[in-house]
Amino acid sequence: MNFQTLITTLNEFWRRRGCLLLQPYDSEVGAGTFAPATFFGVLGGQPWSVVYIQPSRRPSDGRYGENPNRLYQHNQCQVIIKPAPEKIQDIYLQSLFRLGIDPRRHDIRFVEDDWESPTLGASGLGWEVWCDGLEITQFTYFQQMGGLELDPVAVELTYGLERIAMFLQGEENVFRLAWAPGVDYGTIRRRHEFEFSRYSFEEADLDLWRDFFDRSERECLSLLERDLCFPAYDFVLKASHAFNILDSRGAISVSERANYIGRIRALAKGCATAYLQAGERGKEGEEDGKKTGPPPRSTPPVRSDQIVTDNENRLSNQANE
Amino acid sequence: MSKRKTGEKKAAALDLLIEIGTEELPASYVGPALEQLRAAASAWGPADGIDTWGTPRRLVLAVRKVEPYRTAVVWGPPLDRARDDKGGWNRAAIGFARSRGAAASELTVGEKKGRKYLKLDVRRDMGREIAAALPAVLESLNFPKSMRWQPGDRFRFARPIRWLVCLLGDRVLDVTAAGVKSGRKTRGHRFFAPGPWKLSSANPSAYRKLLQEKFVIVDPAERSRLIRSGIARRRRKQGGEAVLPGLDRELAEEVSGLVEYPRVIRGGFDPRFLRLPDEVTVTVMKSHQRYFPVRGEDGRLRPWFLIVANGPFAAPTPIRRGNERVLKARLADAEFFWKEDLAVSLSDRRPRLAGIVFHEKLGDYLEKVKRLEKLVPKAGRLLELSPGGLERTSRAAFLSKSDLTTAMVAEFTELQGVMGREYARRGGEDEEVARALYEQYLPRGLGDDLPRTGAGLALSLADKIDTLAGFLGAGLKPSGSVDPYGLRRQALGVVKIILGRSLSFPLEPLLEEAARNFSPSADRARLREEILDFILTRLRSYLEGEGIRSYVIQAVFSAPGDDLLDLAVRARLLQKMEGSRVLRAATTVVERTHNIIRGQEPPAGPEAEKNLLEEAAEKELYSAWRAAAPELDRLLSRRSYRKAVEFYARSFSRPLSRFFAEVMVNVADPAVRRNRMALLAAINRLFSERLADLSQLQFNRGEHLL
Repeated sequence: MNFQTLITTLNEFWRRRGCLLLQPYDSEVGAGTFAPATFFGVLGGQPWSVVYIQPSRRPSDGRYGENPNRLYQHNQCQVIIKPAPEKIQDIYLQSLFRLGIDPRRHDIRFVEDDWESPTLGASGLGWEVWCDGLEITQFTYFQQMGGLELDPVAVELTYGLERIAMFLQGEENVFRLAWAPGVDYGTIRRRHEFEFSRYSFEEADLDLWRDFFDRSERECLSLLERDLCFPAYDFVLKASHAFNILDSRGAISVSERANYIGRIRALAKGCATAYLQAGERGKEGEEDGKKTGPPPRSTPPVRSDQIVTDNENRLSNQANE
Repeated sequence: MSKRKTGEKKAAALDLLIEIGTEELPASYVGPALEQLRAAASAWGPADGIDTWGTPRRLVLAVRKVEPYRTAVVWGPPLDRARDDKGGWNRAAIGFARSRGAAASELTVGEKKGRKYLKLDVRRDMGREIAAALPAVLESLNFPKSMRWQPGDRFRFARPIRWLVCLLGDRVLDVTAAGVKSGRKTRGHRFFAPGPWKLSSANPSAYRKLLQEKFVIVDPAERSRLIRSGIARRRRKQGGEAVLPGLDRELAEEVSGLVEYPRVIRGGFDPRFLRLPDEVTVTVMKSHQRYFPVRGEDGRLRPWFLIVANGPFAAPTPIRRGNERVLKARLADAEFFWKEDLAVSLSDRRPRLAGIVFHEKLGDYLEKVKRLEKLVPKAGRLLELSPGGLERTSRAAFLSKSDLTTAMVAEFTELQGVMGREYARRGGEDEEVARALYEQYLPRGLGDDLPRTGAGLALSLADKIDTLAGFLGAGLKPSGSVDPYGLRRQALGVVKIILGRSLSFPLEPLLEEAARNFSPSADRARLREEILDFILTRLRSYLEGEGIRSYVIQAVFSAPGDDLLDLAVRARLLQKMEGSRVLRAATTVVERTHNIIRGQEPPAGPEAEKNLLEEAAEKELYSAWRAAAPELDRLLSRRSYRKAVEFYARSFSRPLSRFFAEVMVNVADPAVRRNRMALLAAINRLFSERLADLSQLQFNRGEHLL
């Protein structure tokens, strides 16, 4: 299975199970979890089921395109379902089966992994899913986001697409993966890897990024005062990316580190709180006929009795109702 | 809850089976959870009938011989207040029966403390009681981390509960917990026999047999055994050493918590990775992937590894290949770190320690290294190292923490020390220096090696004492079971090294030097005492672990001392002499002198003077003291403690008895009285300040017969 088929297969699998098929977020993120579709989607009580591919940048993981296993930027397939369905493990395993991973031929394990993101004020319990000793997915029941307790609990599935593709293709070098028939991963990505590695390890302008961090923080805070939590959150992402670049340049000392992370977390908390408050006001506003922020977003729930049945038309049916 | 006894025959004892089916639990959570279940079950059946088992997907409690009904007596009002005028039951009696759901005809009479009372024999339905109690039991199970998963439900558990088996005999006990209703259906292996499978009864053997057929071995100990024997068999097949003690047991225990049905599969790797230090290769295998290494009979690693997969796989080839690719990538990473790290020498790495925090109140690792450089010469001199040895010790201290800046240690923190040694060897450092870099962290745990080289001993002691001085000086003392910085382990390490390597030296000068770095001079003595106390507390429990009675240790510790080995030698000797006539005689001398001087002016008065002696008996005692003191001092200085005890008893038993028989201490003449006191105090101190204050044993007399 080549890389692009892998992407379309997973998208299709989850779309058929009732997830909205979203597009990647258009800002630098370190992981699919940072995209607003996850950060805001898991907050509040309304159902929310989405799947999207998210290119994720980790500046300090770059290896100039020389290490066959490490990348500055990789791709995640991110699935968020709230509330978490009872049979979510089984549904997930079916998605592997769809990719050609038969659990009676391969050793699939759910290995304890308590996930935590100090920058997002987020935590959850779950597993790394191993396939023959290779971690292919992070499976997390979110307990907190933006410092807020979540109820209902959302489940997050993060598929590491490059690793899964390497496994499926029996390939030991990421750059030799088939992206499409006749086109390998290296052709598409290697030069990016080299240039961004050079940039984030050697060339990034430290003053610029320090200043950018501070300005992003200020902008975020001022946007929060005006109840614009989505634009404000964009600057959380920008601050977080600036931190990652500074970190990969070795420009952040140990004591500064905790401070930077704390500042980003405070912004993230502010966004989460503002988002829920805007939702509350939105409901009241409708009654008053005043024009304020819209209520929180919602998707139809994924139901566990729809595991195997094909619900391709369910969403459109509901839309017609 | 309780029902009236209906007078039927006693029901036969039944099996109870509770299976909590979950999503995959963390391996380390299962054992403690089973312990808690066992404790809860003690109210339900006989302790020897309780079994607990667990897998990643289930916690199981099986109790044999549960009485389905128990009779309990409920006492009512006294009989003399329960009759009406006509001799029937009065209103109080009928009310009592009714409050228990019984008819008046079921009331009986019993006697309690010589008075007659009404009573009712009520029947407890254990099935209902267990069902009622179970939700609270589940809720009370303690996990290091727990989660919520159901909307609107505050119930927490380690991972979501997905099914619940609850059977008493062949009957389902109705329970709803965490939104799950109990039933009789269990599950097999997630992939090879998922089920659900029906259980006809709670019979534990039938349950285990059924699950075994469904590729689940429920008993963790059995899985662990299967893993170890499977590993041994595979290793023999590869011509390797069958068992790697220590490593195997620990790893098998952990892996048994990750699988329901272990299957050992062999994989291989490129022999070029054998050029890495063995510890690196083994750590890469076990720390993340939990692979078992293979060693030849010559002790060298072989390019094989063993995987424990979960399930009865018919064709292991794809699994082997997958795992081989993963290990190869990880070994390639390690090889990359190894080569990168070798490019910068340990001494060039030293300045980089400035960025690595030891503790926020205690500065960074460069500061720690500088403190160690100051501390090790003192330690080295106390250990009487040669000038060359002192030089190597200083070099080791200079390099001691540099490996913390290497990529390998950043990736595998458990390799600190090991990497220091290996990089030092590659960097051409003296072998003793290289070894000391490793030995500074010994002993790491129970039964671990101790440092061997002089430099290693000095550095290891200095490092631990510096850590103790730093944390205790900053007021970060452990409390109760909370010891976040492992200070007790550090102190115990000091004790084990000194006793295990028979090192005799006064500890205080080293503590003084260590305290100097953390405390202004005014507080230094106090900090030094605090560290010594802290270490002595560890020594105390260590000696108790050897079987030495706490009152013996108390007696020895009352005689001042900062030489841990010497304290241990004295305690061991007295314990060995416990009950002997000679020790009893010495004890009598110390006790009788102690009883006289107790509560009097401090013993540090003027010495007894010859010209104030009046009675023959006190003159005899005085000469005994003059004669014995130098010899006793000589014996004690040479630490001939057994001889000292014998000599002391021999020298003083008789003259002291005569003294007490013939001489009054409390006479009117203050000079004479003081003189007699001084003589007794001197005789007492000869022993109690140098060997052990045997008067501390006094309250144990009779009980322990020292």
